[in-house]
Formats: sequence, C-alpha cells, structure tokens
Amino acid sequence: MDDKKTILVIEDEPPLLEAIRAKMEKTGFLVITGRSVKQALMYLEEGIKIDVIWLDHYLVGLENGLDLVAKIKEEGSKYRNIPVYVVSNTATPDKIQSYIRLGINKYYTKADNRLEDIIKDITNFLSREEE
Amino acid sequence: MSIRFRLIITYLCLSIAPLLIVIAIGLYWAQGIIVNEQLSHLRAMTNLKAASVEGYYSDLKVDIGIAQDYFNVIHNLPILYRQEANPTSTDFQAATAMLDGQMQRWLVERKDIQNFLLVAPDGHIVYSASSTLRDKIMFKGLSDPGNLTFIGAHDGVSISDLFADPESTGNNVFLVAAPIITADNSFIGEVILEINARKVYSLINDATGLGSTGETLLVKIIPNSDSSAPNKILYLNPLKFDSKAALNKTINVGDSSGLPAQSAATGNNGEGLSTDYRGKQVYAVWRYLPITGMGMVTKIDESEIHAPIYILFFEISIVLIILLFLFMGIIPIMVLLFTSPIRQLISATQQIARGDLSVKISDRLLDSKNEFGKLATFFDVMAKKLKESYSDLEKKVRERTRSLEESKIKDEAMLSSIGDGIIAIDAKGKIVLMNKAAEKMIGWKLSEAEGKTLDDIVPLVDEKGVKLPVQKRPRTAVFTRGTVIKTEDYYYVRKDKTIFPVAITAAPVIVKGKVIGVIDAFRDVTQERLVDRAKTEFVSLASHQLRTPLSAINWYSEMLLAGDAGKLNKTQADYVNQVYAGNQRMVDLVNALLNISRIDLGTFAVDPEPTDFCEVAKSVLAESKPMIATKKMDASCECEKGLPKVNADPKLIRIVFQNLLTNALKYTPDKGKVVVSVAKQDKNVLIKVTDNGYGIPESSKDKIFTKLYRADNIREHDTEGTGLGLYMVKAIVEDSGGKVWFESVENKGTTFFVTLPLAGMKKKEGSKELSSVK
Repeated sequence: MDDKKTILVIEDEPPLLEAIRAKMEKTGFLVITGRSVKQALMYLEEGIKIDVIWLDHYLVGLENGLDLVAKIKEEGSKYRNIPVYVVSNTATPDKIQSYIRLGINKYYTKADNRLEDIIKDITNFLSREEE
Repeated sequence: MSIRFRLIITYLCLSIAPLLIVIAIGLYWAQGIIVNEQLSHLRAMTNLKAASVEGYYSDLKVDIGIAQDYFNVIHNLPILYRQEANPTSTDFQAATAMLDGQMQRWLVERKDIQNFLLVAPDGHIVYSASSTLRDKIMFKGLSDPGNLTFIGAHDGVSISDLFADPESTGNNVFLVAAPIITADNSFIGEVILEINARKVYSLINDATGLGSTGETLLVKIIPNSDSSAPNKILYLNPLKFDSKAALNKTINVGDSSGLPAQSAATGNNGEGLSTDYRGKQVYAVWRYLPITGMGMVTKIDESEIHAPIYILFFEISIVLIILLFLFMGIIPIMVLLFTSPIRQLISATQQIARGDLSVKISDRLLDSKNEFGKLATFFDVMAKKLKESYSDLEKKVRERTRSLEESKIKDEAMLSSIGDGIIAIDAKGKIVLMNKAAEKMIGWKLSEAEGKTLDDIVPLVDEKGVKLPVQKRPRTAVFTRGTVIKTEDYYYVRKDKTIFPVAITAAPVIVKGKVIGVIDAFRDVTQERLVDRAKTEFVSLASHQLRTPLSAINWYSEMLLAGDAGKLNKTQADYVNQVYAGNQRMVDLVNALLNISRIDLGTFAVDPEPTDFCEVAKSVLAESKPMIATKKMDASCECEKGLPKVNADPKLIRIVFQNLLTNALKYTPDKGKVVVSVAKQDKNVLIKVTDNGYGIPESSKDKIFTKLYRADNIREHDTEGTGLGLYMVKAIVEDSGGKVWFESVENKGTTFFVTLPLAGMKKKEGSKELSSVK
C-alpha cells in the first residue's frame, strides 16, 4: 500500500465528492476528502503526505479554491510542489487565468469531462513525475 | 407723381404756354407797329418843319426880291455911296430920309426883320433902317458871319448862316442879301435883311406832338481848315436838354453820339434808332435842307416810344397773373372731377387689398358711358367674382384647417403618447421638433433646443464617454445614404451631463427624392440593459448551477457504464447509455445558453493567434465523422491553396465552422451532399458551407439569425436544435468585422457565406470564453 498515492479532494458537493472518491479509490488512490479550504489546510498541516490535490472552485465557507491555491503556492510554502488540478463548473475565464498563473497543473470543466479522463491525466502526470 | 398732379401740370402748361406765346408775339407786333407809327409821325413832323423852314426861307427870298427892285433903293444908294464922306450933307440926309420913309415900315410890319441894310459895292454899310443902330454900324463893314461872301454876291440872293448878333447879346440872326442892279445892268451895292432867328427857332422848337422827350434840332457842318482834324457839327438852335447849345455846342464828325445830326449835316436823309447828342438811344428822322444848307433832326427817346409797349406788357402781365390764379383755382377742381373715378377705384382696390371684399362702387360711376365707367364695371364684376371665389376659398380653408387641426391634434397626441423620444432635424442638422418623451429623456425643452444643432444639444458618446464626431452620427449617415440607420451602441448626454444608453432609429424624411431632414426615434435602454444583464446573469448562474447535477449524472453514469458498481447487463447498460447521452445534450444546451449570455453581455473574449482556417475546417469535419457516417453523407472540404494564416481566435472560428457544418449536416436528408470551402476573396477570407438540404423557407429567412429562432420546416426534422447556433455565428462574425449571409431555396439547399477580414480579429479581454458546442 506504500506505493499508493494520496489525493486530497476538495469539493463542496457531496454527491460529486462521493463519485470522485469512488472513482479515485477504484483507480488506486488513497483519498482524503474535504469541503472547505479550512479542512484542506487542516489536512495539510496535520502532516499527511499529499501527492496531489483535486480542487473545486466554489467551496463550503467563505474561501474558495483560489484562496487555497494562493496559500499553497505562496513563497516559502511547504506544499508548493504538490500538483493541483482544479475541476470546476463555475470558474470564469479570468479566474481560470488566475489559477494558471498561480501554478496549478490543469483546469477542467466538470460537465464537459469524463471522470475517467481527468483521473487518467492525473495518474499519467504522477507516473511521469516519478520517473 | 400722381396722375392728379400730372394733369394739373399738363393743363397749366397747355393753357399758360400758348397764352405766353401769343402775348410775346402780340407784344413784338405791337412794338413794331408803335415804332413804325412813331417813326412816320416823326417823319411827318420833320417834313412839316422842314417845309416850314424852307418856306420861310423862300418867303425871305421873295421879300428880298421886292426890296432889291425898290426904285427908292436904286435911286438913293448911289447918292449915299457918293455922299458917304459927307453924311451931314443935304443929299445924304435927304436920301436917308427917303429910304427911312419906306424901309422903316419893314421893321414895323415884320417882327422877324431886325434891320434893313444897304451896303456899298465894297461891302461897307451905307444905310441902316434901324436908326438906333446907325451910330454903331454905319460905314463899317458888314458883320460877316463867315459864309456870306460878297465877292460875287451880286450874282443872286444869298442867305447867311446863323450867327450871334454882335449888337445885341443872346440874339441870333442871319442875313439875307440880294444885289442891286441898275437898268443898265451895273452892280451898285446890296440890300440886306438882318433876320432875327426867333421865327426859325419858334418853327423848330415847337415840340407839339413830340411828347416829353421829342425835339427838333438844326445843325450845320463846319469844315475844318486843318484837313487832318475832323469837321465839326454845330448845333444851331437851343436844345431841349441844353438851352445854351445854339451856336455853342459842337461835336466832331465821327463821334459816337449825335449820329443823326452828323448824318443830316453831311447832306443825308434817314430815320431809325440812333444815338443823340446825349448818347441816348432815340428814334430819329433827319433831313438835309438844301435851301438853308442845314441839317434837321427830329427825334424822340426810345424809352418814350417804347413806353406804351411797357405799359401794354404790364397790363397783359396783370391779366396773365389773374388768369393764372383763375386757372390754378379751376384746374385742380377740374382734375379733381376728372380723377374722381380713378380715386374711387383706388380706394376700392385698397379696400380689397385690405381683405374687405364688400366693395361698392357708386352707381353714377357705373352708369357713366366713358372709359372710367367701363373700367368701373369690369372692376365691379371682378370684385364680385373675387368675393365669390374668396368665400368659396374661405369655406375650403376652414374645412381644410379643421381637418388639419384635427390631424395636427392627432399627430400631437400620437407624438406625445409615443414612449420613444422623437427629434426631427432639418437638412442643416437643426432641431425642428421634439416630443415630450424626448424632452423628458434628454432634459431639454423644445423651446430651448429648437433651431439648435442636434450635436450641440445631445452629444452622442461611446461607453468610455468619448464624444462621437458628427460625421459618425447616425443622422449623418442617413443624410448621405438616405436609408434608415439603427444603433444601440452609444449613449446620449443629457442636459445635466449625465448619460444614458440609447437605441436610435434614424430615418430620413424624403421629399421628391431628396433627404430634407431626419427623424431620430430613440429610447433609453438603461432598463432594457439592466433587465438583459440580469437575465443573462441569471442564465449564466442557472447554467452553472445546472452543471453541478449534470456533472453528477455524467460521472455516475460513466462509473455505472465502466462497471465500477458491478457489471451491468446489456439492458442496464443501454438504459444508462441513454441517461448519459441525454445528459450530454443537456450539457451542450447549457453550454450554448452560456455562450449566448456571454455574447449578449459582450463579455466573450477574443484571443487572436495566426490561424489556418483550412485546418480548423478540416478538424471540424473530422469531428463530425460519426454523424456523417450515420447519415451516409457526402461531406468534403475544398481549401484554396496558399491561403495565409489569419490572426483570429481559433476557438471562435471553430464555433463558426461547427455551427454551419452541423446545421448543414443536420438539415440535409440522408445521403445528401455538404461542401465546406475556404478561399480568399479581396481582403477577406470567404467561407462557404453548401448543402442540398431542406433549405430555409421564405417566411423564415429574415429571422434565421434571431436568437432561439428555428425555422418551421426543420423543427419537424430535428428536435434537438437550440436556435442559438446561427445567432452565435453572426455575433462572432460581425464582432470580427465580417459578414454572414445565405442563399437558400426550400428543398433545394442552402449556402451560407461568411467573410472575415484577412486583417484578422482584435484582441478583446473578456470575462468568459465561448465554449464549443458538440
């Protein structure tokens, strides 16, 4: 189980969160889920090794995905190197641009992408990184 | 100058001028007659006087003839001559006494004879009938007057010139002498009568019939011994204007005065206007009297001759002035009478000119048979006709005015009830009309804005507040093109400098093919924009919200199909596939709605990069392979070789191709033909998508690019269309400066044309991208 990668999925919609968890676990990921920026930071600060982050834009609470990415990617952050995939339905182009500028790996529109395809992209990226 | 005045002048000229001419001729004539009359009178006077003087002289000659033949004289003269040395001798005394007895009677009877003298042949006096003078003159020489020459005096009777009597001062005399011849024909002396000039003078100086200035004068020439000096003329009688002139006054021959005297004295006769010794103009008649050797002049001052003419002239002038006053009184009255019909017509005309048609012309004038009567009659007829047609016209005008007022009220009611602002401007861009709505919207009253330039009153600005130049305003284009122009892109600036978004429809007012004005109909689209924005935002938000459940359905169906929840049997898999496909359509629809809302909000981004249109077309065609295969379509792409890459947003170009191709495929029956072509045309890229499908019905052609519109015929064939595709294509193409249009025949096929400038698209930062529709 040691070779299992850990993915932190932050998504406010429980049905979608469940679907992602199910599909990710099926693919062989260790899945930690959360619905808010606060939760995400909590998990990160607990010292759990996170290999990749799956992030929605609109989240529970006042802060959104962009706030989280800003914190993760800020100068001197311990989590800067964790790849971030933003999967959202609601982000506007300028926000997408902001995400990309902050250094996320890729942006996906939920409705337009199959779950499988996104996961394939993530696994491909992680395996490339390992090599 | 009024006719009245002219007539007065004319009449005056006609009456006075001939009168003056007649008077002038009359005066001239009268003058001639008077002068002639006077001259002939003078002539008669002269002749009479000449005859008197000459008669007197002849009488004197007769007298001397008598004395000459006296026996007494012939007998006693030799005795006196012989005894002259002894006057106291008896013989001498006796002879003297004998002579006295006869000769002194002469002196008594004849007052003009002053003395009776006898002279000896040698010329000295031997007898004086006047005893008082004897002491003074006896035995002396005869006072010779200068021209009485005794040498040869015995030849006949001679008469001397007048001369001053040496014995009595102030007394002028002349001598008449005759020789005494004896029977044996010997000359024994002379008999001499000394004649007092008084008689001659009384004959001459009788001025009866010569008026106040008339006189007669006698003159004699005195030859000058020095031939270089002029001869002198001597006046012999006392003159009217110079009583001492007799034998004293002389003038030179050739002087400018005393011309008749000069002429008469030198032996000429004559008459006429001349200059007398005073240098005055006189009418004179002059004669040379050969018997006496004198010249005679009778003359009257010209002024006296002319006096009757002046009197006549004066009298006529008075008559003339009286006549003139009379004419001046009568003529204006005549003219007044003559012009009264004219004045009546004038006042009638003025009345008509003032608009009062109830003109009445007096019957007297109408009845008169002359030209004025005719004129008045015609005028009357004309006035009546005018009145008739005027009242007709008035009726018509009233009716027309009423209908005009009604339609004006209607128009005004319409204008003011129209919610849109309406501003009418004339050809110079000046405001001529504004309705209430316009006043309310722009904050200007018509009374303030009328006649001012539209551009000054309501400037048009873009979203950044930059004023649009006049030549870019819709109304300018309307003037130049003469067509209706619509725009919703700009803002009007109100009087208070605030702005509002405005939709303007500028329409030309065309009269006889010429644009004479523009009607700007406009409305404030602030609310519309807000509503539209709210609507679009609602759609956007709703779409986003819809996406979440759609995503859930998508992913769970996907997992079910992937067997993540256990393997599905065939029926289950089919059903889940249906769910998945339906969900995909829903996602597409939501995406399309999102695109539309972005287009409507103007928030879609344009991110140009060098794009190969052909590549995009081919890729889109490739994506549609499944559909082409399913419908067994013949779809191809024709690309012009060497087409340059165009700086355009590939995502937007893709949307254009996608929609046009999808439509062509969808709305063409199975086994149909679709051709996509890309070529260069002038400065554009021309895209053509041709099919031989259902075509677009005539009724739908003008709405085909409208949002959510779907042609009637294709709704039967395809239920999946959104009615958003062409709307999106048009928005993208026109935003890029291109054009889109089509040619279509129902059931034959359709070709869509798109041109996009080779110059490419301009970059636009938008908040959202448009997403492709599958």
